[in-house]
Amino acid sequence: MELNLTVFGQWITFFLLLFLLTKFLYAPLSRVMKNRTAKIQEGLDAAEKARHDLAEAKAFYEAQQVKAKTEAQEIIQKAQHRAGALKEEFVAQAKEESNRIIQKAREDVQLEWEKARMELKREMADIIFIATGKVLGETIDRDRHMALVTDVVENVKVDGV
Amino acid sequence: MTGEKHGVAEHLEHSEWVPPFLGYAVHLDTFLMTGIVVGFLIVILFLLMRSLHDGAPTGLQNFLEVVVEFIEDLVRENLPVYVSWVTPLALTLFIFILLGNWLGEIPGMQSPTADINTTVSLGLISFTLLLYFSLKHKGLGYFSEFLFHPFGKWFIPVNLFMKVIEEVAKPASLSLRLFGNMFAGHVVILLIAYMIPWYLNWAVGVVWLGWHLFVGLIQAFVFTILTVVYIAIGQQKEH
Repeated sequence: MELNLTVFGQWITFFLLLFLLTKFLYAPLSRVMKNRTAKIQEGLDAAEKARHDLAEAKAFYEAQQVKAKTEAQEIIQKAQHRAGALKEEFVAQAKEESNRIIQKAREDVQLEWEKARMELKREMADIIFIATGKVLGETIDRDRHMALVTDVVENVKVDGV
Repeated sequence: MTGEKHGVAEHLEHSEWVPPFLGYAVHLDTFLMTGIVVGFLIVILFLLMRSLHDGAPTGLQNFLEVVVEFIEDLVRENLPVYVSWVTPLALTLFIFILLGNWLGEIPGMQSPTADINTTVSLGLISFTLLLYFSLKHKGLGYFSEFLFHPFGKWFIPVNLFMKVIEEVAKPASLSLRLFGNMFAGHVVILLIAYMIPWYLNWAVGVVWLGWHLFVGLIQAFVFTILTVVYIAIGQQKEH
């Protein structure tokens, strides 16, 4: 149980072990752990950057969304105004067209009425000639008495016509 | 073997060899056991270097990274001024003492740390570190501590006596604590073998083995942390 040269031998062994463990355990493991830490930090930084980019993109998207909504609202309002103006224009045109059609129809009716009246007068004159001839028992000179018959027919008023 | 001893004492003797012209013996069995520890570590290092990578660690690399990180944290947390080479030194102390302690639990082997020569050599390394850091950080002020602390300039002989004892006690307590624990463990194993009936021997032996593995771990940790603490004391400017 006494001290002897083993002490020095153990020193040598210890320093040999110190060299081995420093060179082949501590140094490589420290390097590996530092590399891993750097990689993890890199990953965390990338994740942070991605998160930041995502937030920026989201803000940009939201701003664009608001802008698009505003623009859409403006377009809708303009379209509504334009539709209102067109509607009024079309209604005015339609009214004008309908008035024109009614006016034309009235004129046609008037023209037809005049034609019918003239036809009626001619028919009446013929009937009067025939009836008068029958009553008088002789033939009436159509050309000679036409003015007279026409005057009578002209002065006949049937139901205010 | 020296002398004719029997029983437990016979197993506690070291195989000695006296080199020519030196006059002092060396313990061959201690060297052999230390060589086994070194050989085992070389195998471990070889296996580690073969599969070392900086991806997610597994198996042996994972375990060794935990040990290295544990010692690194221990050094960083205790030293006022971090010195990078103290970490591998503390790591070597821890691993060498731990494996030396545990080697004795294998039947037919003995702990190199159960030899006082091993523990004294490690204690002297710890003491050398204390002296180096004390002189580096305090300069000549370190010697003034021997003369003027704790009782001032009128009690220099008393101060010197007390300080020398205080300083010598550090490596002595480190060495004797480790040696005492490991040697006692070895003695108790032998006593169990001699005193307990053979049919109970294994049960008591297994319980003691488990306990002594734990003691081996604790002693390795205590030696390492006290060495780091002594370095930290050496780095402190104030007494």
